[in-house]
Amino acid sequence: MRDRSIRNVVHYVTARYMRLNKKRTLTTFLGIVFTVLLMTCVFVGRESSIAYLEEVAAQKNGKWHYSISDATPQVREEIEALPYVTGTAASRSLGLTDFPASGNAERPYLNVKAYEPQAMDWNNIRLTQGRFPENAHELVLSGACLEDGAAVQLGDTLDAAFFTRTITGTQDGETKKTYFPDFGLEIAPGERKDLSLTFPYCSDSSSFRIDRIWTGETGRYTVVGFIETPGFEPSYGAGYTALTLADEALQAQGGACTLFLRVDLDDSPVGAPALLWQIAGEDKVEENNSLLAFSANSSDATMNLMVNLMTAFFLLLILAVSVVLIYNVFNISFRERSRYLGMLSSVGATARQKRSSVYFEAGTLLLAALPVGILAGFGVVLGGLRLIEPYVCQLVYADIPQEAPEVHLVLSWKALLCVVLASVVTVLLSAFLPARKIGKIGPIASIQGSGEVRQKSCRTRIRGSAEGMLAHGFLRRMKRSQRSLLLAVTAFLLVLVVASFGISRVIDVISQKTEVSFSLAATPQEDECVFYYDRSAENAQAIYDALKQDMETRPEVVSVKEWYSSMFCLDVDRDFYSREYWEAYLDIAEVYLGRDHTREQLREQYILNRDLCTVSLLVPDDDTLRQIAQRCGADQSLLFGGMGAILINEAQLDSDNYGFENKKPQRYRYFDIQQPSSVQPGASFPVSVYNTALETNTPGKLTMAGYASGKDLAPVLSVHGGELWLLLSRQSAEELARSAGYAQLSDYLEAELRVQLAPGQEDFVTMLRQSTEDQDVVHFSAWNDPDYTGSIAQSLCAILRILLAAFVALSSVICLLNLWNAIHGRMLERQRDLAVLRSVGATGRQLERMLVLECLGLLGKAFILAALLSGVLIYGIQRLLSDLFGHLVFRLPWGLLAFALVFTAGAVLLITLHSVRREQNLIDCIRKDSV
Amino acid sequence: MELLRCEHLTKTYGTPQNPVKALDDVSFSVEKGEFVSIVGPSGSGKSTLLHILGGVDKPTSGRVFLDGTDLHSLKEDQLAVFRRRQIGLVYQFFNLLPVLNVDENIVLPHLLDRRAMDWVRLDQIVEQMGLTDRRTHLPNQLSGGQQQRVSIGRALFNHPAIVLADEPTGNLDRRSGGEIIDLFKTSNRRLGQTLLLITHDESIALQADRMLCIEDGRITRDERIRIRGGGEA
Repeated sequence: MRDRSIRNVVHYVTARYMRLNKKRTLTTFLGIVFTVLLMTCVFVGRESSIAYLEEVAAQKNGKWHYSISDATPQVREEIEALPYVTGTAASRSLGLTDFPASGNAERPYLNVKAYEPQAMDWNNIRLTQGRFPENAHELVLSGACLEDGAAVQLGDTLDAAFFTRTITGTQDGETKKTYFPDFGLEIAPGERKDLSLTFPYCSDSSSFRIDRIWTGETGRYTVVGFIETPGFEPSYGAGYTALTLADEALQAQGGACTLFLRVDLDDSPVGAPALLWQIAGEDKVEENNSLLAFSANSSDATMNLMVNLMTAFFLLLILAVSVVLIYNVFNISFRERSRYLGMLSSVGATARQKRSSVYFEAGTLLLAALPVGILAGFGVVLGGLRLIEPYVCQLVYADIPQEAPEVHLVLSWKALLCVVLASVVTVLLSAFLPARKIGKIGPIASIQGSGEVRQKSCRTRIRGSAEGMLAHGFLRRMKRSQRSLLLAVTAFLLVLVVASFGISRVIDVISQKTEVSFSLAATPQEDECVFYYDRSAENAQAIYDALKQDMETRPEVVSVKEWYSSMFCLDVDRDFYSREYWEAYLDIAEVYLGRDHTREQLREQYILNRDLCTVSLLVPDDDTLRQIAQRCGADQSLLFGGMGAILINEAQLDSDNYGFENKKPQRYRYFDIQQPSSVQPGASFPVSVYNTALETNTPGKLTMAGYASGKDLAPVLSVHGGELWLLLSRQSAEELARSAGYAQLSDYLEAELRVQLAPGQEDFVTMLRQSTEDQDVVHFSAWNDPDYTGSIAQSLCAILRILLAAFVALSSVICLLNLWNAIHGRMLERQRDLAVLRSVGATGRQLERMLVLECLGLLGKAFILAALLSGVLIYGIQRLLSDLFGHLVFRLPWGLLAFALVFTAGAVLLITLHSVRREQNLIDCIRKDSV
Repeated sequence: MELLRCEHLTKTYGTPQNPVKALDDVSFSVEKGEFVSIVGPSGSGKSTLLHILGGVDKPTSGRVFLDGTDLHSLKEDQLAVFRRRQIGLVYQFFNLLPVLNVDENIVLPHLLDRRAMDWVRLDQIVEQMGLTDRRTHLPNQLSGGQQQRVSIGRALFNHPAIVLADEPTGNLDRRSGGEIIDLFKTSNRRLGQTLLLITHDESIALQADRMLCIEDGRITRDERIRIRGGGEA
């Protein structure tokens, strides 16, 4: 006490105690470090990943958040006055002009736009040669024109006379209307419409005429540079992009322009797009969704909700795990701490001073852990970003592969402050209860450490082995000391179970939301390739037959199978679809039309008014069908000899894939239909086949041979969407087609050739792929097609899985630390008891057996507790997601759950057995305190 | 008949540079049925000696033979089995299992030996120890004297070859201490239980057949007080 630095004796003793109890201090320190690390992952990770994702997304569509077409100077003024708009830049289209130097007859024009300098940057305009225009008489040209062999170079002068195009329907021929489905354009005879500047080049035909409308603007431009082909320039457009500078003189002319704007995403209100719609008109505003989605500002409210939900979900779980760990550490050391604090209390320490001991320890460790945790967090965030980088690029660019920007950390004071605050709150929360408890306990109780074992007589229980008796005794009569361990095991289980469930459900929702609807994917299996053909093409059947014959004789080919399929090709009664299906359909209709119609009106209009519905047909080869029938237990005699059909008993409806009256849905709804058809196996149902050539409808009858689930089809097929599919045998399908007047099955359904190759035929596949690339009749796909591995849904789900794995790994480390600490703490407390047991003759094996029995009992309790708590949480998550997204079938990720149970049980057993120190001196153990 | 023999026992603590000898070449033997007390000042090495004799501590050198078995040549688990069958240990601070009640604590070594429960023996011991109305009580519901009686019951239950008691009355008041010594004497005189007892209290030590005095880790006196089964020596 002569040390002048001892100002607070409670803190001094606590510090000494922390030094003496190095292992526990280290565990607490590590626990807090991991808490800070996880907080850093949440806050800095979120900010960095959003910034990175935005950077990646900006490379696709540009850096602007919203664009407004046909914006007048007045609109621009109003928009610039909005408080959250941080900047605007405009581009003005001057129109098309002839480009005599073009090397491509299909692209004879230049599409000239005047850009303000900022707009160049925001639209990712990148120079490949020369420089950017410095006035309104210079321009840069799209690199695509050079690729097409245009005879143009830097310094050339181009004279421009600008025009737009119109299309007029003519009276010639029998054509009633001319359709351009890719451009949403239809033109009736005598009707005249403006063509967009990106509309392909076309000359007059018998049904329409193209006219030029001169704008009256002309100009002479010097080519000062070439740019990378901009993302907005379609390869089918009639003109190449040419950009000049929108100087003040041009801006002063006024007129409509395209206005790009950036907003302060943190400050912009939820209804920001709606405000822009009000000013400029709904159809004029375009959101750069790939940029906005990641900061939960996209126009897709569901995706925004997902981003926010995921952040909240991770944050809450991390907070809970950390609180449990740190609380446990303080709680475990309660007995030891209470002893020395009891002594201090007996010489006059107040409750406040005793409480300050806990806060002092927490604060000291937190202070040291903050920099370590934050730095480690930076490392984890960087590593995580590198890990998800390939999926992010796949997700954002989809079919436009580009070099991804380099991953880097984004640090803001705000994020760091959040990390510090969240960590402080977590640690204080964790320390609060133990501090309160220690403050209340009296000096005698502290010193005696009473209250550990209950003071109540116990019935003698001498049955079975001594180990059983001891385990029972420890489990039943020392509940208080088990509490920390029970909490640790329960927390571990909860984290694993809830995180696995929550994220697997979110993955389900995302994959549902991003999957293509109405798809039945017969993905080529290993070493399999598939040829499809367009039967409307000239000589299609002959080409297909020749291909089939060729494949059958190739040495590289093992077998050739023919499948047939067609969507919406078989009519069935309305009652074929189940009540569940129609109710879900009505729910979707309500999302679109609920504001204006009652449910009964919708039922009348969209269900009761329709007599016939359609189903789709798939006719696999007989071997495959037989395998499916075996797996799902369908009646094969019906299937192969009695006009039987298997129903694919899966259907999902969602508001993204069903539209009503061209309206926007009020929110996203999703329905996983359990029983899409009302026809039971064994029952017959009427069908009719429409012959498009004869325009006749032929009635028939099929019998339901069985239902096949997604699992039954899994190795061969995956089905998705709201359309119902029937599987038929080749024989039944041919009979159906024949009865309807089709000469052959391929006139009714589309054929595909499934070719099984011998292993190692990659070169042969490349040859096949190349040979089918340049023609439109036969389409080709193979098991090693890049298309099959890179869908948006897969990328999103891959990112989520990485997040799940990272989260589970990090929180598992915290939970393991917690477990280790709880078990070691308990073992330290019991060191004396175990030594006594050994001194009265318990062997090491008997002690192990006793501990294993105890662990099993404890795990049983923890499993029950975790099951109850996770049941509540899982119910909550399921309910929340169902409310947000629609009806989701309750599905537990059994594999992950089993892993969680086994992993937890294994960890508890291993740590417990590892904690038994056999080599220790018994007398030392019996005599010494647990410090 | 010689039951216990120790030869040249030494026990050294500390570092090689700064060794502290707790036992220094201790040799003696105990006859079957003998009641031996060991006395000596604090830190003289008497508890260390008892723990080495009981097989819960290891000597630095020397050997201990109990009923012909060299204790410290046994492996850890063999020694544990030997202890539960042949040695009854009684500590100053009782060292009962707090989660087991009186009955369960007493039968613990017996059950650890995987033997069928001997309820008659349990009743007998409980009665002998005066714990009949405390059988379902946990240690924290018992007085110090009662806890020590449970501890003695546990030591005697398996009919061990020898009972080693380390200051069994050191934590008790005079009356309770007297009762404990009476229990030991009874088991020795009536049942022929070999007994080695460490004590500070010379009046207790003098109730034994033989008294060993230990100082600075050496036996300084080996004095027979009375002839076994007979009067004063």
